[in-house]
Amino acid sequence: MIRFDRMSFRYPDQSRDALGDVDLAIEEGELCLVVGETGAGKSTLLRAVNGLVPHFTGGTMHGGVVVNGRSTATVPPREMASTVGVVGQDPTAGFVADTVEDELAYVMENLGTDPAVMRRRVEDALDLLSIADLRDRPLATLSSGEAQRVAIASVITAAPRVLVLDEPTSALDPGAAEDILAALTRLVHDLGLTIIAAEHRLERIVQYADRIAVIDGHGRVTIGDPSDMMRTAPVAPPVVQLGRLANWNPLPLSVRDARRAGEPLRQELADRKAGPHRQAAATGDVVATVRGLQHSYGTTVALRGVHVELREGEVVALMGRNGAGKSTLLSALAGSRRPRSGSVSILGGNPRSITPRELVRRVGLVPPDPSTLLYEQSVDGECITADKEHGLAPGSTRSTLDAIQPGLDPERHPRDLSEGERLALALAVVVAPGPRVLLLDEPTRGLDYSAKERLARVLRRFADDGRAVVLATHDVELVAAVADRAIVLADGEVVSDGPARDVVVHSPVFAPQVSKILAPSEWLTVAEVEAAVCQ
Amino acid sequence: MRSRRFALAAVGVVMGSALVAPVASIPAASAAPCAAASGSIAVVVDFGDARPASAVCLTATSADDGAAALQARYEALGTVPPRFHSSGLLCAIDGLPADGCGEQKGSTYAYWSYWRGTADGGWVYSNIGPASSQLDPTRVEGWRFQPAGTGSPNDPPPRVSSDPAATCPSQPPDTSTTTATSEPTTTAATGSAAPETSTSTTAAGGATSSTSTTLPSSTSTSTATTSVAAGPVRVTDRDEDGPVWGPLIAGGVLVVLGVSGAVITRRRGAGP
Amino acid sequence: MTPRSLHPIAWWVWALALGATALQTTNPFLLGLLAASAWLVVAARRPSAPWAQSFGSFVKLGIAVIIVRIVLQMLFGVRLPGHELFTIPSVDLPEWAAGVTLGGPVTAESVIAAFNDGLQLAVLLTCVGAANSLASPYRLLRSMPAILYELGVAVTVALSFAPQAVMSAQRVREARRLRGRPSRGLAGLRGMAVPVLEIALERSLELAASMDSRGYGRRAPIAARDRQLAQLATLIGAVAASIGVYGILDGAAPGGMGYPMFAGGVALLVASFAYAGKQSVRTRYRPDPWRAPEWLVVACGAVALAALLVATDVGVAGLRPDFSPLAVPTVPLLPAIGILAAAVPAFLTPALPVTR
Repeated sequence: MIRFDRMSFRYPDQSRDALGDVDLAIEEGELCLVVGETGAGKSTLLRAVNGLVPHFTGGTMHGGVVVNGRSTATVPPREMASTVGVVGQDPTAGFVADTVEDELAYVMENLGTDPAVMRRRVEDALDLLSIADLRDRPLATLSSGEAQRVAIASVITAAPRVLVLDEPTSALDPGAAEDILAALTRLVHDLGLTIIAAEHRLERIVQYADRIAVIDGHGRVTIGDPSDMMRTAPVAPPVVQLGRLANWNPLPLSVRDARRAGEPLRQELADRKAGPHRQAAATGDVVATVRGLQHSYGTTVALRGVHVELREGEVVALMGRNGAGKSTLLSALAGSRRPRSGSVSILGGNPRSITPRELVRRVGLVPPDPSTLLYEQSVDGECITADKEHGLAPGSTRSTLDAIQPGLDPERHPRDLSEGERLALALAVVVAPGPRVLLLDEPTRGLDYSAKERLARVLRRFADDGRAVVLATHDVELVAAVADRAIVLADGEVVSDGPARDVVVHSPVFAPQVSKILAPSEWLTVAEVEAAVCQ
Repeated sequence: MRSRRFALAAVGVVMGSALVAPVASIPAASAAPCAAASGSIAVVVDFGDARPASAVCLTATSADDGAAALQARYEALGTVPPRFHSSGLLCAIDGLPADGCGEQKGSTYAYWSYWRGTADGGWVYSNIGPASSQLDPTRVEGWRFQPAGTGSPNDPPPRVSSDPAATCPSQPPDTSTTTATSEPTTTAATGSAAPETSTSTTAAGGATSSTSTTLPSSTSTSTATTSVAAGPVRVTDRDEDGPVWGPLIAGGVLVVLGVSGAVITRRRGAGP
Repeated sequence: MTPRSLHPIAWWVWALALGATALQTTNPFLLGLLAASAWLVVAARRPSAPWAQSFGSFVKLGIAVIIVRIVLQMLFGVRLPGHELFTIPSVDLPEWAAGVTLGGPVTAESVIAAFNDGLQLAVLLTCVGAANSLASPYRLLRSMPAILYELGVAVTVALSFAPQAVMSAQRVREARRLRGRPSRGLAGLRGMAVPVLEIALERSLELAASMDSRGYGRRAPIAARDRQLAQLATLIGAVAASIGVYGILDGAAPGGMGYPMFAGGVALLVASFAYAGKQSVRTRYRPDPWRAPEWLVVACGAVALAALLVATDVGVAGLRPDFSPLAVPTVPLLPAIGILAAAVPAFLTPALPVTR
């Protein structure tokens, strides 16, 4: 179905090939997963399938890509729309119409499909993706999970043979991610679509892949059987890491397979206790308090009477599904919003009444899109500006940045950095004035596993320096790796608040893979298991 | 938010004062009472048809403009006030024409042309409107209605001499200063005699005029002018008393529509 | 009647008829009735989608226009004689600027006259705002002839840019506040422009890639010579139509320059559009039907406009009242009733479908 024929590609004004000598064939009806570190070239590979690379992006391509007999060198993307459907990283940025139904019909209108056929296909797409009740909804009111499904449906209606997805589940909470994966497997198995997807969060999707393509740091692609590829891939979900550690053969990719293979490991660990890496309850001073916080946007109530206390030295994970109020709570802590009632105090002061210059010395917030914080033209420029803004010694922000992410080219434009590098830069800028409370809102979007490990280490270090770190996320693996305490929000209320271990281990939604594999023993991360095994 | 409220308040204040003003009946914008008049000004109005032209001698300072002179003229004669368009164009004097303002018929216009007297008895077409032109007391203010004019100096001037002395003879102010009468009184103030405005000096008759600018209006000159432009619509004051039904009903309907719109919006917003 | 949303072109014709009606009169009562009718229809028939909430902005813009007009009149306007309110210190201008006055006494008449002039513009804006709130821009775009489609896409995307830019500006301003930088005033504005524009650029690229991948811009092949012929016909038709419009408006133009030229130009344009329409391969998904309610809406707008045109022709008093001397303007009956007809679509058209 898809054939990459010695294809290599270089973006304009770049000195290095983005993809080099790619030679692979993907059969019809395969779910092919593309993995690699950030910046490796996954998006480039995906966009090459329908011709956006090179027609839309420019650059030079050698070799060819042939999809269902059509070569992307001669067929522009708009003519490929009937064969290949592409969903980008941000589905809402691609919306054209007002309502869901019109969005679904857009591609067929462009292709000149007969109106009766259009009607039928729209109904089919609504059923396939289970969005029939969203038919008349304005696109601006959709949640991220619904938007993702609508975006997929809007390319399905053209009846393509190939579906290309760029990070379909990275912005979704676990429930919505499961819905998307179920829809994708249905498309593959019921309709025989060929699906190519790039993902960072591999925990759930890796078990459904028929083949995995790994892009290494030099733009070379290897493809093969999932278990084989995962054995040596540079990025691996916890289940694979555990399998590598325990030398399971064949390498299990799902929790079920790992449980079957993991009986001996469970026996071995039965008498060991997960060494408490951290205190059960932090005993540092209280640095921030929230009492009875109520907030609403118009008529929707976001927070109802939330009580939270933050102590220095602890990392708190704020969890809950999308729309539970996590971002609102963080904004209230940072003084961005005036609550309807209740009080917020940071180091004894109300964040809304402190001047911004003083506020940044007490609390820092990294928003979900860190690039909104950055406005200089180069990495160095950001560091120098941060030094000047907060009256620091020149070079202090730069050294903070090097401690977080070493080796960043100072001349690069912040928007050209990878997601992990941008997050590191934003963190350095926020931490520069020395706030005691550090807030991060959904930092894991677009981060690969090594970047997440680095983030975990950095956050741990910040906490040990005497700060309180709050992390709003639905990435349970990161929570398991770094959090001392977990607060679960639902519908604007605190549902549970306690040591992370207690909160996540037995929850079917929030439990990390390792604990699901090794249940009923309470293990959270591969690192813990490794430490216990290698004693 | 605050600036919006301030702006609305400003509008409200301006509108309120504008509506209150007629009730308070502040005197017209001409010279203040007992101000030292710097001269008299003659205003000549030719109605463009068979009617005789009207000529009036008024007191005015050179700070006034042609529009103020017309206002003073109507107060002196007791006719209807001149009607102006919002752009400053003069629409009607003494109610002629009853409606419209410089209406175009084909390629000609029915409008009031504005003239200034010259020293040798002729007329000069004025391109500047009355509200922007400053008075020259030594020149006569002339107006002629053009039923089919071209809006250019080619239109015929008033059929009256532009000699100021013809309208404002220099005679001592003597007689009563009743304004609205049509008696041809012989007196008229001249530029020389100083405070004509102080009507108290004249003995006889009630000095009824409260507005200081006007003088015994009618003149007795021999030129074919008669006093008091009696011709068209005569002093039917606008009826201030009695409710004006049309605007009241319209205002009521407006309020009803606005309120129903708000109610519908509230209901629809609260619905689903 | 089954609930549905009406054809957007019906709403636009209605609104433009109302706008043309507003241009025929400066009577504040008539204008007020016009605006109130438009408001009633908007309140009853505007959907709850985000694009439909712009009516308030247009009204605010209209109020701003009135205020600016009044202030300009106070500062520069010709002084209508009448009841003085207060005096702005005036500046004497040299002879060559004799027609302009700076300052001077402000009379109630001139303020009210200025208010009226501004009111006409404000009501025009209200009518346009009503059309914006009632007719979905995307559906309007889809009803366009094929030749205008790509232009219409550019306009629609630009229309959706503004709320996006506002949202990202809010996020950037928040982020600046988080960094302790000024987020208000001129200094804040400068530092916000670059990130907002960068975000807008990135989103535009994403949108362009998405549209390209979904077939936007496909054309059927047409011979080059035919295409050039069609373009030439469009150009000549547009020029002829413009000359024709000028000829209609100018009374002194020769007879052949008016309506005949206009009609010929429009015919040429229509022909070239129809021909170029063959080039497009787009089909329409569930085009909006045009049935009795649409005709009713158009008719209501036409009735209002016709009432005013007839009244102008007949010479009904009170359509353009003067405010010097100051008097409450009369309300002519025929035009008022005609204008109230414009509010009928609020009741007699199908209700909107209820979305979940």
